[in-house]
Amino acid sequence: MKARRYSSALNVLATGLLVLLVTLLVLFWARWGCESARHGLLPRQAWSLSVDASSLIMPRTVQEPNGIPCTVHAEMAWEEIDVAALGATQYQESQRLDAPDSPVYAWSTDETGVRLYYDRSLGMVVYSCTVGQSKPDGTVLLKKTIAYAGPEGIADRPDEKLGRFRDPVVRLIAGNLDRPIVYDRVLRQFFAIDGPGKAVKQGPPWPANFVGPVDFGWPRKQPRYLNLYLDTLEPHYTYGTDPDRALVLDATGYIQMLDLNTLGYVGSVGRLPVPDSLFASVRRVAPDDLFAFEVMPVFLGRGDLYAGCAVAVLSRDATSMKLEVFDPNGIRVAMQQTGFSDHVPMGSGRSGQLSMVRALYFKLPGAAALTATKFILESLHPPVLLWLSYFTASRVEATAGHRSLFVLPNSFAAMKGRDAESWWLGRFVGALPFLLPGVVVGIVLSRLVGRDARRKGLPTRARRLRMAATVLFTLPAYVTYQITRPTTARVTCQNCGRDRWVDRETCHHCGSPWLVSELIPPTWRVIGQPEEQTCNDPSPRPEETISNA
Amino acid sequence: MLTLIKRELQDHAVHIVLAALICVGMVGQVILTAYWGVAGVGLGIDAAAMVILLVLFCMLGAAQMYTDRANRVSALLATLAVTRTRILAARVLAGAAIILAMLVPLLITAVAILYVTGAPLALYRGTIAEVSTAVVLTSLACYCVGLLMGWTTNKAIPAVSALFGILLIMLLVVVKGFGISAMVLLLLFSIASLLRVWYRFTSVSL
Repeated sequence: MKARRYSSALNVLATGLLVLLVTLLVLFWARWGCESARHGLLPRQAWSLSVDASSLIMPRTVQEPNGIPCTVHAEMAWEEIDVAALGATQYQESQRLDAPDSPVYAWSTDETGVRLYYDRSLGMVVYSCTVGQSKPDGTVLLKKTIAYAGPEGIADRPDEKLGRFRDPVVRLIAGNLDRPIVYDRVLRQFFAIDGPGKAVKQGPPWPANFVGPVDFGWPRKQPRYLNLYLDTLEPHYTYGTDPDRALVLDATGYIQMLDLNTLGYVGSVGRLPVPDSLFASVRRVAPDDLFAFEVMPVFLGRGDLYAGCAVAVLSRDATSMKLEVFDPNGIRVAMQQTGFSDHVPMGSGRSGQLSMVRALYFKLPGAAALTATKFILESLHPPVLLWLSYFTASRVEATAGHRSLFVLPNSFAAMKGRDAESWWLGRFVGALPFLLPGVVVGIVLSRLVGRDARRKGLPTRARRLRMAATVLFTLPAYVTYQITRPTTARVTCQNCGRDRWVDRETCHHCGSPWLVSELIPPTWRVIGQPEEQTCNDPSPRPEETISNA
Repeated sequence: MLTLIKRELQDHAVHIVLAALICVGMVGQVILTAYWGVAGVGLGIDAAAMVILLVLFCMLGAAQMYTDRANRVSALLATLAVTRTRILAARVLAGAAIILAMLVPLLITAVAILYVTGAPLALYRGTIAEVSTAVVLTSLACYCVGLLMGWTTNKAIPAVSALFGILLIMLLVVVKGFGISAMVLLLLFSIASLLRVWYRFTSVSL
């Protein structure tokens, strides 16, 4: 009987897990459809930004006292953004050769055979190529060379003396294959691998009071979906990378300058801008808080002069974009964020300048209906997961949040959880309208489950467990109960006379086992007067019959 | 146990032959794609063939349970010295063996082609491991859906619900990609399905 009880509990758990997964998947696709429809509300013009940086980045000259005409553009591929957020697309992007975390930095299939990659098992950066050597008889001998680079040096074969890179980020600055720059996240140090010189240059340790860099060179995230470019008449400029300097983006969103000759820190030159959000925004953002960003440094001449940098970011839920331009000293000199121009319809014939996020959620035709749908879908999400989303609002990486089934970093509750303007109690009270509907649904369904479980005669402990599970998980728990509730036939209890389960050891009403004790007549009697001896037998006694004869 | 597995394989030889034909077609297509270098079209054909293969694995699971239920195979076997758990274990082992037998040649072909064409194996090593594990787990999950839906005497309900189940599993892979989180969810889905199948199979009257 005990084994049967365990297998029954196992069945309930397995069914619950299946129902939970199916429910979460259905809810996910419903939310995804809702968000896709929301992105589709905007006209294409609203998804590009332009900043005039004529006198800001480009220097003034005698011929051009206002600076050389220069415009920085940022464009988002908004048609692809919903598909881009899905896990299958993200996985495909992460496996490309030019992906930020790709362990292969160069791979040529032609006769040169140039290959540069990180060998995880060795902990070294491996460089190989085929070099032609002319022989005295005029023929060319192809010779394959290979070099292994570690933090301590470079050699023709792997050696423990070379050390190991633990968690390297490798960038080919300005496409220079002969001098890849390595930053090791564990060692917190930059290295320059000098291939022709057969040497590895170590930089000074990254300042201890700074958080570690996450990217350098031309820091970008999701570059296929956010494009930043410069439009100018100035012929002598480069952007993106420079042989002598590189921008470094750290984990808190600050942009630093790195001297590639000394591999040392030079100074701060900017930071990631904070995009607009539905509730009062956070004061600063980290790379993980953004769906996409691009930091583009601009150099004049042959890299002689650092002119500044342009930074474009796309918000966590991909509803707003912001573009900022910083001068060489890291001071913000221009800014623009997505908004509505006059030609954008806002319903009921009105038009005007609005915050894009507010318009997307409330003002545009159909936006309010989508917002209500989103609210209902989030209220149907298991409350325990929704509350978890509120408390872990900022800890989930932005792109991961778009494919999350369990916690919802882009839910209203989580957005409120990221609100940095109010203190924690005010923030919590503000989030209650988004957190409580799910709990109310849970309580209603829990009462239904409890009532039915009592009627079905489930033990008190099992009934309470199921009710608690229904409050925590609402719809999945309710469906699980409906699928797994007992349907066994019942018989009359010999002890109490009510219905009892045939597969239970005891009656769930009176607790009596199957073998009810035998009914024994009491030994006492009520004695008022002597009992009368009555004989109701009509037949005569045999003796009398004999005597009469 | 081996006798039971052998009997399962013999009973569902049609499914095995069909799946083998599709796999041979996929292997041939992969080789031709590598030879001609039309990766886009090749990937599309492979994706379509993979969907058919998943449906076939689901049909295999449903057929195993439906045949048992309709023909009372387990009722007969239960009169012999074998438990219901062993019957189910043999059934699942046979299904898993068929899935692996169909997918492993495909994996070997893909690795061989990457090696021959000089692709960066340092990059693709992880991809191959992740994608092949995810494909095997997706196939297993579809097979489990078939087992779950097949335990009935009605033909229409399992067909519709199995198609819905396959669709959900594929959508799960689309949502999560081929990474570790997708693998964990697919594994959980398969284990939960198998537990439910086991409970129903061992508790219901034959």
